[in-house]
Amino acid sequence: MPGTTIVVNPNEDVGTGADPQPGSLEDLYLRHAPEAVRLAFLLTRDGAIAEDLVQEAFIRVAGRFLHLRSPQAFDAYLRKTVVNLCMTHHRKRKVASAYLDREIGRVGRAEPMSQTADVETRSELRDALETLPDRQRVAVVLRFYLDRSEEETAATLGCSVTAARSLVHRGVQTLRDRLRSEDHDG
Amino acid sequence: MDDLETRLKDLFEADASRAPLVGTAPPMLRPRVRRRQVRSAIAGTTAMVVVVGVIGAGAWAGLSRREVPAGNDDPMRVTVDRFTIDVPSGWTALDTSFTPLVMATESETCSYAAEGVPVTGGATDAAQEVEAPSEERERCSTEPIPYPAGLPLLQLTQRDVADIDGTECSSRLGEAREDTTSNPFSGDGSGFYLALLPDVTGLPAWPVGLEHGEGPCGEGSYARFSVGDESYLAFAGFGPDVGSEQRDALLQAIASMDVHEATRPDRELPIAGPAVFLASGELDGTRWQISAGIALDARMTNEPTAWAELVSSDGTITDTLTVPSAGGRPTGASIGVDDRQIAVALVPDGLDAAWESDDGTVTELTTAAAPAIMTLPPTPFSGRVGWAVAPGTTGTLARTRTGDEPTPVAGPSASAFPSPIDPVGVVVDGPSDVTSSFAYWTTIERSGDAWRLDVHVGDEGEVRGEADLVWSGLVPRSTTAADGRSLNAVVVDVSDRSPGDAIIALAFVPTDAAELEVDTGNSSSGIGLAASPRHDALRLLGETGPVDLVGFATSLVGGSFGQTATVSALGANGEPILQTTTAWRADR
Repeated sequence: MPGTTIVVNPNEDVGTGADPQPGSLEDLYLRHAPEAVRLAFLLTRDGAIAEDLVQEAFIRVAGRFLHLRSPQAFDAYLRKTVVNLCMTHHRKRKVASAYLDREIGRVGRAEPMSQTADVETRSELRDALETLPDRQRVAVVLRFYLDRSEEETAATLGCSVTAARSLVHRGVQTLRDRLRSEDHDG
Repeated sequence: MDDLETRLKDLFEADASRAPLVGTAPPMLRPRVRRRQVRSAIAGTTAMVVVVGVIGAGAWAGLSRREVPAGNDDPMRVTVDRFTIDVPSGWTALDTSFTPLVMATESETCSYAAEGVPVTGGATDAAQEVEAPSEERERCSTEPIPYPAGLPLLQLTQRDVADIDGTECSSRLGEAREDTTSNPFSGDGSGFYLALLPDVTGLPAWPVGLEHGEGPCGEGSYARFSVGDESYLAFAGFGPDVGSEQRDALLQAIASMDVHEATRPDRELPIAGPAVFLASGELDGTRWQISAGIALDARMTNEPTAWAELVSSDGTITDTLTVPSAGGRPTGASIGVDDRQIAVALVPDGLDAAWESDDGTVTELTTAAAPAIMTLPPTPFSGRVGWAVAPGTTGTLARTRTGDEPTPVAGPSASAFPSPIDPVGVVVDGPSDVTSSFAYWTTIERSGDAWRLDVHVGDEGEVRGEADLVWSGLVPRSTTAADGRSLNAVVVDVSDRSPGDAIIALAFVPTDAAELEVDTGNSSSGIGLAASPRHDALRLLGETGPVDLVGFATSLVGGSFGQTATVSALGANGEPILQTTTAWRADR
């Protein structure tokens, strides 16, 4: 239904450096992309992938919703789309990883080499975050990085407020247990 | 915030600072967004095609319909968009907030000049390439489509609802009645209509009282108001024989309306017509409601589905139900809260009765027992369909009547047309006068590599010809008619750019047409905007003779999509010599 209009004029120049028109795609990108890229980066830990995912999210949201009720709606849709794309990316990565593991297993598993070194450079907390299920990690990032309310977190994850609260709680608890365990082992 | 949470926050902020810096939008972003918008608009027109088809089919075929019988036994309180209202006993509440999704809000017209090379008529596998018009030769303009009656959201009615396009305001979605001064209700008829007024500003904030007067819905009581940044129209009408009790019931319901500043969270919307509210209630202090309606199958099977939605006011209870078509067989499932289960079923037309099977016990569903039974006239996609909603615990509807005994329905597969395909009877009576307007629609079905196209040609609502064309591998194989006015079809295959994509559009065009104009503006995702055809692939398959058939292509990718196209042909002096409208849909 009509509301805020996102105007995409195919003849409009992009990236010329001129001040974007309010409400234009360029304007929306400047306003929302930096935060979206930071969110995607926290969820993927890869700058290039984060940029790609945010760009894809923009295409999906701006392409689908030609008119939005309000600018806030664009932000919410974009955040949700970024989160969904990041989780899809994780799923694909897991599939690819499983495939690689299987293929490597056939020809003889290589030494874990650089992976070990890489892991060692990470903080315990970052390591522990990596072990969280995708939705828990997303919930924790939304809650403690973006300071999103439980309602907003629930809306982004497409679940109830109770479920969102539970995801955050379980995520933090898992991190706590994991860190405690590592402290104990260490 | 405890220590761990503080550490998390610090870690996130430190890591986020390492994220790439974002400057201006990448140059490729805009064209990709534009393409997505076009696809989105095209996908939106799928439902538009349904509306067009249903309206046309109803007028053409004049079929008898079972209807949504008016009235629910139990009073309900329901929410649509920002509005929560009591539904008195004996009234039906319709959620028409989906309907605007199939209403175009803008129309974009593009014209271009192209020269086609007609090919010899008759069965052929050949399709000749025609040079695609360049963008430089294309002219486009966009016009808003006014809706004086607004985009309908919510209605209370006591009439049987048979048409998905009719409202309590007027018989055409969004449009004003032809006679805006007389009472639209006769006898003891009455109703309430609430609509969003796009692009209207400056109205007083809710609450406002109803005032008697004339307007787009005729004579009645109107209120125009704003909530937040959006404007709304409310209309209540009463026939001359409406009693005080009936009048009071509706006025009390309107008075009960709560308006919320915040809109409901956006949902994944089905491409659907109006939904009928079936039940509402409270569970642990949370109010819930169930509504059901007809939607297109999101899995792109060309079939309508029954769908139902259960939501609660706080979002803690939510469930959706989709009942896919099963060929000629009725199918159903149930949805509800605890013991309040409601069966929603898709019932093909032709059944004399629907029966509920519960552990072998068969119970006939009567109109009285069923909150809603509706059989729609034919859709352009899959023939006649209907749906029934009935209370029950199993939700199984699988019986039809033969004599007095219920007999299981053995329905054929919906896609049981043969493959590989031979031409299936081309029965075409093309327009007798190509200068007159005519319209037709197509049904596209796909089975493997085979495509099937049903074409109905008519004039002023009268069916004048039908064709059943089949292709394999997207190559037209059947195109002849003896009278030299063969109905022809164009299938444009752009699979070299996007595997599997196909665009289909049809038109009879006089061979002396000097210019063609294509309006594909009848598209909407609820959000307006038209598809902009780029004609980036065009093949002409026609015949020498009085008419040629021309196809127009827009780039489509994936999914289920549809389009309507109006083709106007202009003579050498720019005079209009033909106008056709094509509604089409393709699935992959």
